[in-house]
Amino acid sequence: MPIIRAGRDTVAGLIVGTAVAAERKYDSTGAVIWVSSSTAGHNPATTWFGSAGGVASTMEATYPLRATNILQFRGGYTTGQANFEWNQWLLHNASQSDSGNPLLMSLQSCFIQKTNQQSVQFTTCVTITT
Amino acid sequence: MIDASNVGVRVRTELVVKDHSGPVPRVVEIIEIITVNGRLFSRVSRRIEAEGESHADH
Repeated sequence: MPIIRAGRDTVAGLIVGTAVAAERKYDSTGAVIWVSSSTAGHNPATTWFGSAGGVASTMEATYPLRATNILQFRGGYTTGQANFEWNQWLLHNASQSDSGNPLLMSLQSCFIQKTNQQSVQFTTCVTITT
Repeated sequence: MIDASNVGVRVRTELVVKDHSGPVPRVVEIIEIITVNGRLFSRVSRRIEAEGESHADH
């Protein structure tokens, strides 16, 4: 679950108020979870899954949550969405693949083979530790 | 990847899978994945039987 360089730079820009247009907050209207069937290897400079593409889920109401240094994001996928083998997911600040700066990318081989008989509630807690 | 020695990121992801094939949708599996600084720490899949019993795969 490495932090992506673009996300790292976005956090830096938001801290000092110099964020550019693509460096938006990962807030209730900005944060977007994406899932993909991509099996591409991790590259810290990457900002997208590649040709495999992905399916977005915006934040459920009241999310993201914050408790001190813990950030919690939640999205949902209906029976009609993202019916493929989920191999990677992304925490992004855009609902289009070609804009914004993703914060985190996770690569896990087939963490679910979703079918059209299933819906999935996707929750991720990001803890910034010292 | 974070490379500072005194700052890290721990991510706990939970997928609650609900099956819609029956008359009433029900939760059939809960998958928990934990990574620390980009490395997989643990992964647990817990399948929930119709009677309410559960089965864990590590």
